[in-house]
Amino acid sequence: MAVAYKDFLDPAHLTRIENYALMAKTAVEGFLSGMHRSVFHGFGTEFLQYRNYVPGEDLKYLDWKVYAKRDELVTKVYQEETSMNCYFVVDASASHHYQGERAACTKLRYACMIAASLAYLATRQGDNISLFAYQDSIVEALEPGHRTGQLHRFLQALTRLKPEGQANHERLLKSMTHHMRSRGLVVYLSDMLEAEETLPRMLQSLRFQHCDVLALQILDPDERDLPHGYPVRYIDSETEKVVIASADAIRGDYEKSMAQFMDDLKNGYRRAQVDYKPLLTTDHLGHALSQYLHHRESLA
Amino acid sequence: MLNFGNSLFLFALAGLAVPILLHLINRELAVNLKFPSIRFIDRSQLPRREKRKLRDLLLLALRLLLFAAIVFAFAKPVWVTPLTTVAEGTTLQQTIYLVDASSSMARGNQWQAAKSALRNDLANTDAIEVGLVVYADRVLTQIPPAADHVPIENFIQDLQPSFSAGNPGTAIETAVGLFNPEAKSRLVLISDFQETDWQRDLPGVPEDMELIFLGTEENDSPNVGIANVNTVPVGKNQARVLVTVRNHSAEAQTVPVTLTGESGSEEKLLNLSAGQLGNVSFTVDVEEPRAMTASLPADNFNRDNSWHFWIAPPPVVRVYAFLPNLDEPQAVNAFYFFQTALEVESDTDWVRFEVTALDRGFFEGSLLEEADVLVIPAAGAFLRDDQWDDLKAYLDQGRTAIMLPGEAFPRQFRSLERSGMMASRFLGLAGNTNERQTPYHLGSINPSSRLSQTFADAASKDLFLVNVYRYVRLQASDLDTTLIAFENGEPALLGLAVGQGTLYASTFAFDTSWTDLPLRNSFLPLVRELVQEGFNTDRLRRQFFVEETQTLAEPVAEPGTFELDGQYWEVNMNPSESVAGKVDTDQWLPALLSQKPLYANAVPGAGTLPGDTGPKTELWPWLLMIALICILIESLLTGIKDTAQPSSLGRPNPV
Repeated sequence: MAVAYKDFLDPAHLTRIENYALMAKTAVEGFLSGMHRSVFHGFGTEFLQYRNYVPGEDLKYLDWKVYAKRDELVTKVYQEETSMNCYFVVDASASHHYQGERAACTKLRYACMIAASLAYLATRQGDNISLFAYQDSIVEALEPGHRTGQLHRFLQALTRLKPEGQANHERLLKSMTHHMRSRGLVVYLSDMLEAEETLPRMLQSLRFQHCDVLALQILDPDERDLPHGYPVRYIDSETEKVVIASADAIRGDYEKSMAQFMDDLKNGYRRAQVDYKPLLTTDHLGHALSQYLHHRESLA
Repeated sequence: MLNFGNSLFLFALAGLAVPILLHLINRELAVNLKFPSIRFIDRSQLPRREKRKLRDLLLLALRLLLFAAIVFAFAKPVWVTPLTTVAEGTTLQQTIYLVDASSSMARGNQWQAAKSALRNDLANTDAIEVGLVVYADRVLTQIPPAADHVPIENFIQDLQPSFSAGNPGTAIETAVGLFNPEAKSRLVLISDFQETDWQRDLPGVPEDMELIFLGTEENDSPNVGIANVNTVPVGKNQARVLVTVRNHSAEAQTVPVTLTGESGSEEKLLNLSAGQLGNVSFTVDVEEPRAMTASLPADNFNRDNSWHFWIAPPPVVRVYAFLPNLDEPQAVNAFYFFQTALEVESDTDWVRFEVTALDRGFFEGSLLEEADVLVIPAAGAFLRDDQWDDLKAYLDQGRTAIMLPGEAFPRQFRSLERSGMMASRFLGLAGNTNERQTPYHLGSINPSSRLSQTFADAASKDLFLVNVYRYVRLQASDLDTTLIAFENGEPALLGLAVGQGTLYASTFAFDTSWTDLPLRNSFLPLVRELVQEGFNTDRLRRQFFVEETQTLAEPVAEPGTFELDGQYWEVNMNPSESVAGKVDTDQWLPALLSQKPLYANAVPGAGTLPGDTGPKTELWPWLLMIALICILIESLLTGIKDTAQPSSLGRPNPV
């Protein structure tokens, strides 16, 4: 049975690939090969050379002047003008350890899969990639680079991550700004729980350092609708606080509160001019990849 | 009636508490779940129990039923239908009384009690036909079932217990065979159920046969009985009489033991602990054979208070030696050694030998018939074919002969082979008289022969030091018994079975040119044991228990002593009849007779036993089916429970 390209982006499929490099390649190549008409053909503006037109190529790169003069179809190939630093920031706090019945992986695993795929894509396009993973402090930090082995180091750092402790967003921001020396793109991956007030403001400050920010919120489907049909002794992953409740009894209020939280977050990011995309751990990775590519193209 | 094969499994029913506890615990505890954030989760009232109470109770009941069904299935329940319901349609009812008339029934008033029990049952029985089987060591009387009760009543009127031991097995088989197969059968066993009689191989009875055990009353009166009398020679013309007495009661007893003969009586007191044996000895003159009686004073069981026996001089064993040629020095030497060894008077051997040498006319006359043991020293080679036949006929009667080789040994052993008396093969001669420096030695004694007991331990050392300078080599056959072998394994003394008798063939002569054995200490016991091994010294004195004489031409009904055909007969009651122990008639014996498994909790009432039950139905398959149905319903209920709440998913792993 043939595997559709969408299957390559299904977390249920990708999570079975233990190796992040293979997983990222599978996701990205599957994503790119599935696009009928790609608009992402390089972001540089400096002309490099001509090459013969291959039927199917986008006509916008066709050099009509050459066609007019020589009656030959050639396309222009550009070299990237500059490489961009792509900062991946992964929240590895204990709340990312959760995996509901419907999800194929934990929230952290999903975040890492997105980070790995985007990093692979960025490397493929010549960007420098950097990683910051944090809990109550930074647990992994990788300086920007695009040389051989950078992606490998990036993926190795992701492999080492284990969801523990509480997320300390402010400490992260201070550390990050210390390390960021040039403009770039910040891809922020977190469940952003209990931070709808602070996070938009904090990420907005990165824009002042000429960084563009893409905030990807990772949630488990259970966090949206609280499906448990039996009495549960809920233990907060980060604070260890306990509350005993029947989900059936509180589901309505919970969903309202959660929707309000999402709205607040969305409005906060809009005001902070930060691109924001909520993702569920059951969503295809294509959503994150296309969001990233759109974002990256706009920067180009 | 419900019975269980493995009732111990019922203890597992205590495990029913487990599902109950699980249900209780399940109701009280919520599932632990680590959640990313409980910020929007408010404490809420848990669902009211009543909502699911009915379904949960149903589930609990199902699980309890499932567990109980499995436990009961393992306990192997059996439903036993009472016989009365099975045999309701039967019209003919037969009862057979099996009456034990062994000697032990004469103890106390047991015999009267047995007859009373029979009469009572006979008067009250509903049986249309009644029969009777009286037994001791065999079936004494059998009256097939008939409507007329009078013959039975008349027969038991004067019936007395025999002096024999009891053997109920044959009697039960006889009684079962008397029943009409179509009738409702009832077997009434009237006995003291003495363990020595009933702990034998017993036949089974049909499962639908009603078994009634009418035991006679226990009698605790003390009983002391004579268990055995033994006589051993003490010097010339005197013997020691050793009376063994057993105290069958639970208290120590002091009893006078009286020895009575023609010349008078002698009494000695004997102290006996409870249940113990004791011996008392008397020394008596034995110039002439005479009958004597050892006796005890009257007690609860008088039949074991006397023991009849003969006291007689040692029997004379006639040993005839065939010496056809007195010029043969080896034959003369062997005869001399033989005669000397046998005619030595012993204070301890209860036998006296008379050794006589006979010439060629021996086989022609009737002397051969008079010989208890025949010795053929170095003369086998001189026997003619007809004499070999006479020898064979003599041995066929169960007699004994001893054959020693001479210089003409090849002819002797080839004749033995040819006559078929010896299966071993003659090989030749080993050694010669000139090589005395390298003698052969005996190496082993057949452990199953009497010789091995005589030459046990230190006594065997001298025999193994015997020097044999030459011997006739034989290739031993499995058909012949090698009694003594040389160190190299070749036979030194063979026991050849000929008909009922035995021919002992030595492979070396009892002569100093062949061996120094006649000069050794071992020679005397070797020769005497060899002769006695073939000659039964007890054959002049016939000792029997009463029941053992039933197989003889002259059966004896009561204990006593008498002389018949020159033999002295002693007949006594089997001392096993004195044993007071009884078998368990509540469970063990009924189970044994009906050959059915014994159910530990099926304790029958008096007179009603597992034997009087009807067909059995195994219930465990039904229980397993119930368990299966429980599992199906339980799965169905739990499935409904889950689907009834669409928002619920499977429980995550508890933290």
